[in-house]
Amino acid sequence: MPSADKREYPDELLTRYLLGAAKASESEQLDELSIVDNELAWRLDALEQDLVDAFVRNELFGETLERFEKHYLSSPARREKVEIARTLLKCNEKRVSEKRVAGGKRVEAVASAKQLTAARFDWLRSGLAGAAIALCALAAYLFVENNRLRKLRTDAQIQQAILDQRVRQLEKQLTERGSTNNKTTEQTDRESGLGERPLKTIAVLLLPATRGLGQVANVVIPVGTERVTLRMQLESDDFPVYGASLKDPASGTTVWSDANLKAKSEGQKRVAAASVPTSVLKQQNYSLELSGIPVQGAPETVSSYAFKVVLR
Amino acid sequence: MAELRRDWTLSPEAFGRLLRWLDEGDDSRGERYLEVRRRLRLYFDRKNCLSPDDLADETLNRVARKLDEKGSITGVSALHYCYIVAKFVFLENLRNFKTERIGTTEDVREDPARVMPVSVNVGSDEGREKMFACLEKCLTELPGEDRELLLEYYRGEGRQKIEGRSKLAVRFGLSKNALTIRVARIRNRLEGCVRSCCGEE
Repeated sequence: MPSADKREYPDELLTRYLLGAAKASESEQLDELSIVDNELAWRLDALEQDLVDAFVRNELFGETLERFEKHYLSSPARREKVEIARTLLKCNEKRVSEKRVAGGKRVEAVASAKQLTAARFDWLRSGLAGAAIALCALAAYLFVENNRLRKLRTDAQIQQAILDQRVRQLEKQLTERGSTNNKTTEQTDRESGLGERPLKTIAVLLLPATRGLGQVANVVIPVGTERVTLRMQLESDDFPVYGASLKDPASGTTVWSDANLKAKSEGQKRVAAASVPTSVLKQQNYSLELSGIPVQGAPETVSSYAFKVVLR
Repeated sequence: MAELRRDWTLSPEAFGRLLRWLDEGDDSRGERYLEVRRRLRLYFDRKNCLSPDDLADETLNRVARKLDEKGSITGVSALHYCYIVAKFVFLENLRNFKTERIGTTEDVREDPARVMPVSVNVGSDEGREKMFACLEKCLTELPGEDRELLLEYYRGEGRQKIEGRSKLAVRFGLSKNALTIRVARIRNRLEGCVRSCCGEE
């Protein structure tokens, strides 16, 4: 029997053949072809498998289902095929389910990763926000500190200005005091009649040294002056005779002394005057020590007078 | 068909000759024999015979005996000759069955379920569990690509399944028909493995 044209054997006919519903002539032809024709043999196999799968999936209806149950399932070998198909379906569903679970886990993992990423971004955002706040705080601190330093600088400048002013005032006071001393000397000289000729003797009023006041009177000695009268103002006149010692304060050496000085009145003040030759004087500081010599007993230090010799 | 010796038994030489003859010049390493036997078994099964495996073996034994005694079979293809022998075997089987069922006038082909006992062993829970275990085992024994192809081929339902198979054909570089045939072969191999596995225990 020649191999029949395959177009004459549609799937519907082959299905009927498998279900035992084909005509006798058709069945005989297909019996032969199912053995001798490779392609038809495999087509029958595939159709049979689809038919069994459809039954397992409850996709068969009507006459097809009826024929399947009545004819196909009558064979133990075919029932075995149905059981294998059912098991294969179950196996496939199990694998799909496992894949879904694995997919779900992957989704969860992705979600978790997203959450982690989101958390990281949150942390980053928090960090950036914190950094921004810190920067703002730092800027505010710097602004305040800058103002504070500016104020301090201004205050310092004010203080400096005050100090400078104070220094200038003190310098002015010193100058004025020195000028006053010189005027006093000149006035004394004029009163003594020495001012109009070359002075051979000059007189200077010395005030008792005051504690804490380091101001030293200048005694200006013009050239040609032979003697300098140092008039020492007394705080009290308690002694009949006074002694005076002129000392170099640097060495403590007494460069001149007089132990027979008597106090006399100049206005309301009592003054003891000592006439010192200019030959013993140098341009330097001196200390004039005044001692009270009582009638009886040892001399007593009464006062000390400091001055600076300025030679001209 | 000439008379054959009744005391003939299948020797290794006769079996080797049968394999070579079925291969028709190729060397299928027994694959051709297994495929022919499978088709014969299906043939007898579709004829609602009680023992399709035995009848398939009987058919091939007769072919091997013919080859052993005559030396060769000419004028017809190996597959066609097998079909002719199978047809005779079926008719003999049908005659014997009818003889055993004296008084029965029904055509067994009209209502085979009435004449064939139905085994329901595989329908039990135990049988299904055993089959499931065998199927898992046999799936792992398949080559990776065949296993993937088979499982993908039967995935989904309805339109989804049809579309899935079209994509599968493209993926494996096969026509739809070639894909169907390839899957059918894999499934036949799998079913044979499962059948064998379930029968072993």
